[in-house]
Amino acid sequence: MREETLKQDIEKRYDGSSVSLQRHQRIIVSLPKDSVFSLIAYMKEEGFGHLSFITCVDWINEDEFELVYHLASYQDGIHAMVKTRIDRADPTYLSLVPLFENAQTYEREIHEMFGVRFVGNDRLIPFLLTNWQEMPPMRKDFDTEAYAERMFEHE
Amino acid sequence: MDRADIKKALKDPHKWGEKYSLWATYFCTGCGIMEIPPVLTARWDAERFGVKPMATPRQSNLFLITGYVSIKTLRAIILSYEQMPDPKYTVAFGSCPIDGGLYHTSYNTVNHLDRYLPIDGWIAGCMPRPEAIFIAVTKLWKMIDGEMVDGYKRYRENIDYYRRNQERVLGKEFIDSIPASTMVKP
Amino acid sequence: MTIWMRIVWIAVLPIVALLISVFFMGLSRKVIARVQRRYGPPIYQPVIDLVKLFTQHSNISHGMIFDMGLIIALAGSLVTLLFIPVGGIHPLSSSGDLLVLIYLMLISPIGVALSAGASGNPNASIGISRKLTLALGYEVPFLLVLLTVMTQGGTTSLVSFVQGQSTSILSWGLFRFPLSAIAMFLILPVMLGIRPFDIAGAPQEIASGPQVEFGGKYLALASIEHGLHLFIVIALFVDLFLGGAANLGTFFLKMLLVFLIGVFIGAVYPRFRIDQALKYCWKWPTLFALLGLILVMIIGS
Repeated sequence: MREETLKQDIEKRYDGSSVSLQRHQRIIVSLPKDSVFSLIAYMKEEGFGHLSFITCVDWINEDEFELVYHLASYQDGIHAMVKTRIDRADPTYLSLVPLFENAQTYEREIHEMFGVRFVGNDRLIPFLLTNWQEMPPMRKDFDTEAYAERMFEHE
Repeated sequence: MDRADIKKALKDPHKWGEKYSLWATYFCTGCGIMEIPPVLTARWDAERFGVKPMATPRQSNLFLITGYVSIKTLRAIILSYEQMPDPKYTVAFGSCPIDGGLYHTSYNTVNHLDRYLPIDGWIAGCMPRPEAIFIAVTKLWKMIDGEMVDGYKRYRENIDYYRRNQERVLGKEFIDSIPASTMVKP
Repeated sequence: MTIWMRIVWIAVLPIVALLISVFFMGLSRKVIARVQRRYGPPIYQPVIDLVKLFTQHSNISHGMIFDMGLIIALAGSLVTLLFIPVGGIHPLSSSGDLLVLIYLMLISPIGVALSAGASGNPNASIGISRKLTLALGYEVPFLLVLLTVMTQGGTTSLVSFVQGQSTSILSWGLFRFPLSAIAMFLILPVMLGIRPFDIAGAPQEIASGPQVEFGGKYLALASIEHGLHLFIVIALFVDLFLGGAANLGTFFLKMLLVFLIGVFIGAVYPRFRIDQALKYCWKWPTLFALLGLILVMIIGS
């Protein structure tokens, strides 16, 4: 099966990676952050030509951000999630724009909502929030209730 | 509905025209806009009340705020509201303009809309059904008869209060950039 | 008629046309609503709309050309009205009617174009370019039809043309040159601006086109101008092809018949694109009008 061959190839080429087959046509790849760019380039050659989305998860207790890249392959019909952890205190990462141009918008949103800086993306300008002067709002230590109370409960 | 009451119409044609020809700006504010297409189409026909959707604020005199108002939308709402000719009425749908509703603790939506814009009537619900919207329209007629809707006059007289609140949320740069000619004296 | 009668009719005819066009606008909304299986507003709803629009305080103007353009359009429509025989009333007609009409009917689109250009809104510019392109579309078969009429009747005076149709029902234009009548009927929705050809003022696409910056009194004048344009085109059709009429009542009934057919078509169709509308205008209507002209010239010689 295609998923089995992919699992064996990836685990052989990239040490530190672990692939789990969640169900038919769904694989999850976790690996350390240094190999992500070359893994995604390899998967793009293997037929995963569509970057669907990039998500960020705030693991505040472990002091890490987790970046999840969703890739889709049209020929095999497989959805792959590539997960990696980066440091939360000074979050900087490599941008995926040289591989997939639409990563520019997803990284712009993550920059605005979590504060992650992407090296190589030159369009990290304000996107969705208007007149925003606080910390990035999707982080778990942002108290949205206190902010709403302060900002919108007035005379 | 005393639309066909000729004596009453001739006594005050201005009010007669205002009441039975409310043209609504088709500005889709929040998630509540899903309730407006059923109101306008054939099942719950709003045109028999005289309510028509118009494409631009310059041609309309009723502004419907349907649902939550995020900060970005508030910018557009203020600019559209000031382009409407007097006399104009604003009706807020749902619980979000009243006190924030479902999004009360959200960092991106305003909680009390009447601190930024004058509102003439509220309709409770999340979202109100078309029957509730029609009851609101008939209630608005009664209020127009009784001269109780003066939201646009309040806006003009207390413009400093509204601008102060708007600046608190939207920033000084945007407030300074609003063209002054839209707030022309009547 | 004497000079005093003419002056009276010049003053009264625009009011009659205004009342009839307001009635037609209300009737069209009611008929469209009933076709769409709902109740619809009362027939006097345009009166309420006009009263509201006239009593609104317009809060902005874009300069003198913005004001004057609309007044030029309205004046053009009013003057065109006085040249078309309505029932037995024709205060200003003389021997060159049809040629004068061809020129006067272009004043109102140009007036609205002036206003729209002065408003500075890009939606208005798009709407005006669509409106003038549509005018280019319907002018070709329209001019061919008028040429046919002038050749067959041997006259450019609309009044003598109407009188020539009064002998019997078979002398109506509809039966004397049927191909031209079919061509004119096919472009009637284009000239009236009803669906599927209401491309110029499309609310969903370009925010009502040239009328995007009109509010209050401007919109009231634009609605009146639209109504008068409706009246002029339908009256012209009735005069050329349905025999005119000797009195106002019969004329009004014939206009109502033509208008209702137009409204029924407009109630069920969606909107064309501007290139589809041009292709429509220059294909079958032009073909029919050209064939009608050739037939009339062959038979006449």
